[in-house]
Amino acid sequence: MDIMTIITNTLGELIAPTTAAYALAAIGLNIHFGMTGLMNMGQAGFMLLGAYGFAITQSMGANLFTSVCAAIVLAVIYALLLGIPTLKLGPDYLAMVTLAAAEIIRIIGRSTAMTKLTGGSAGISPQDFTTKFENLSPLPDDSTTFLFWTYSNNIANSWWLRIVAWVLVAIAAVLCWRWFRSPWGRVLKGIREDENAIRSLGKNVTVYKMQALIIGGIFGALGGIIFVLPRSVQPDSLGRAVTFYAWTILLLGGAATIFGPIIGSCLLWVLLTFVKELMRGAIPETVISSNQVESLGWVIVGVALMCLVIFRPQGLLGDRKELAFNV
Amino acid sequence: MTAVNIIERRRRMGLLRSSLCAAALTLLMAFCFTPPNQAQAAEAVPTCNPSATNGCVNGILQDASKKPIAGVELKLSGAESATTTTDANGNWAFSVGKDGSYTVTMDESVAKEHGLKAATATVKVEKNSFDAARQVVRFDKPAPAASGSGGSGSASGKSGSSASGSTSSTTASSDAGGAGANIGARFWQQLYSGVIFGLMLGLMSVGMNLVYGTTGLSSFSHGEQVTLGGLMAFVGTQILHWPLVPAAIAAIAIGGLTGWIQNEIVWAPLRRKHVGTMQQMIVTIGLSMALQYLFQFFFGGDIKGIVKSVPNSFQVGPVTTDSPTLISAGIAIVAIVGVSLFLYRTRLGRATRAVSDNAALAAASGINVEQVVRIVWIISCAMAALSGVLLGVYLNGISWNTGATLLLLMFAAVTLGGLGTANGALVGSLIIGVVADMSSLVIPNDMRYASALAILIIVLLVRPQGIFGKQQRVG
Repeated sequence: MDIMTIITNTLGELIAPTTAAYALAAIGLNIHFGMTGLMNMGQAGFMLLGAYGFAITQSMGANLFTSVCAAIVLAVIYALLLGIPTLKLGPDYLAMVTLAAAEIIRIIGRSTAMTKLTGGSAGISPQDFTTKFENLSPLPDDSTTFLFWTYSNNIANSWWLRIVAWVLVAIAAVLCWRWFRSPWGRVLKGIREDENAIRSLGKNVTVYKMQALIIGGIFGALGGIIFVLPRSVQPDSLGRAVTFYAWTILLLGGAATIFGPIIGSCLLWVLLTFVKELMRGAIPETVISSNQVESLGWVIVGVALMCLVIFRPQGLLGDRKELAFNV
Repeated sequence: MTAVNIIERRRRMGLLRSSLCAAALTLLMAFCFTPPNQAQAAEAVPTCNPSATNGCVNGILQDASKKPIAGVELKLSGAESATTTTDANGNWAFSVGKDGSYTVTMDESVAKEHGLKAATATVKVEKNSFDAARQVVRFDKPAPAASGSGGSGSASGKSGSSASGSTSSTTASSDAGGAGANIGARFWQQLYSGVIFGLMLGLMSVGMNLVYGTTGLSSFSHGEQVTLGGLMAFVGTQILHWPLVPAAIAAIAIGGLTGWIQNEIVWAPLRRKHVGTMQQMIVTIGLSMALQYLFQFFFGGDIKGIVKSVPNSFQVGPVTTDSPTLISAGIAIVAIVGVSLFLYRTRLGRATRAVSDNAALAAASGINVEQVVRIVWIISCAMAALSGVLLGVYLNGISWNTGATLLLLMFAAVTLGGLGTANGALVGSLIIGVVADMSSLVIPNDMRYASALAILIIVLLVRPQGIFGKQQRVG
């Protein structure tokens, strides 16, 4: 066991594109849940749709802007389809429907009947959709070492992708900061606290909820694009588990805060990688196999989620008084 | 195969000269791809060609009437592991690097539904042996059968297009059997298996709905209670070598015990602290994640068979069945009737319904609400464990995520019947079970759960309170 490799691998997660992708998804979830009180249990559905929208249009030869637009349009349509039947109902219903809809998308995406479009369960391989993104990079074709991080500049899991991903996260954070303070954001918070009070003020609650659902979903779709760029589009890698990770991230960082999702994502992945690497290094393969280490990582996330909600529902940054949490 | 495809197939039957013997087709296609240069981990490939560095495990998945089954996920385990999905012609192939035994596994429910005799088959691959470098796997025999049909050296000039064409779902299959005669038989078979599946789903969702009715909590960890029951029965029969019945009773007892314990240490304190139900729901998600992967940690990722023997199937009217299936269905019906009698005929059952109706009013009229909720948790988890055991027997096995895949169907069933109504959940489950199984007649098999979930969304659009729910303003 080499303690330096463990630390390097762990700190690699801090700026990894996947961390940024989860941060984006959690920012979207923060708009849903932290601001508006919507229980979206299907953020992975938005991410998968975004990923498909981007990758399929790319593989058909569309330019990058069109592809990103396609991802966003898909997310908007999906949010409308989900929102129209459920936003007038109780929060239980939205949770169930979003969860079910995300599963439907995954099941359809991985179905053999869709192999032509989505590649079935094997998915869409990276050479089909990452080339244009990589060609856009202004960086020279080489690899760069910064502190202890060495990555290729442009290809696959690259510096270019990291820069784009974190710039997106920063933009999302700034937008959230503006929105949280705007009159619109205050209405959303009002809906979270007491829907009927806002309704009695003459606001159309359903429309506001729909706007929140759409905007959060767009961030989810962008997160999905970032998520698939360093790997391939595989429907099973964007399943229910991803949604639950995003929830853990949001509650760890603190719902209804600007930096909560970002800090939550960095912290979760760094800690989880550290624990897993340590277990891999310290415990011999014969006692706990590397598959079992993966499962233990999950158990830790599950228990962390339970403990967070029970003991510290406001997370690291949140304000307990603000977050009454009773949706 | 969809109905449309079947019609199209019959129409094109005369035109299609490519309707070769299926096994031969696989062999021919095997020559279209260059093999990888070095030995490597097993991977799913469209076609596989054995070489000095890799062997092949492949086959064509066909149902009892020799029709190809598309979209079935197959898992390879053994010396190396991988996963693949059968294409429109039922073809699948793994390229493997190491010599040794390989086991190919599919979902038990799929095997059952298509009348296959086995859901797993084991073959032994030897790269350097002429007959053992390629192993063709069949699922139509109870015993693992491996026909060594080594690369027949014929430098076939068959072009790769036939292999890539297999991605199209409209490609006509190589089968020439009477499709029209089969559709009727399959209809009844699917209806039957749908009803059986619905009954088992009913056991789970009735319990889930009781918890929802009395506490307002939609428990995401209910699926794990089902898995727990099945796995405990597996421990009883296969590790401790008990007979099935005591193992099942022990599993149900453990299920009930976990219900009691989790109510005491998690849910009761949360209710006392007046933690919101949404918050509790997120706790159940965490619990579900932790339990599910704990199962994977201890039991691994493969399917665990509770009973090893393959029962003799027999014909009842238009459907093929076997005695364990009928007994399981009988037990499920008895359990559901028992719970209904409990709810409607006993004092405690009446108290339970009172709490579901209005907890505050029930408490005011002298009902010990906490006591009722405790009993509901125990019953609900015991029923989930029972359904896990029955499901494990019916499907010939249970794996760490069986319950989790059923969770959404439970939600769909509960919503369809009406949240909080015990009998509604049963009716909802039967409908969901039948729809999920029957829909594979018209849409690809791997999308059948999607149809059940689509029902959930449609129900919410049309009648959000469900079939038996009270008309009231929700939300």
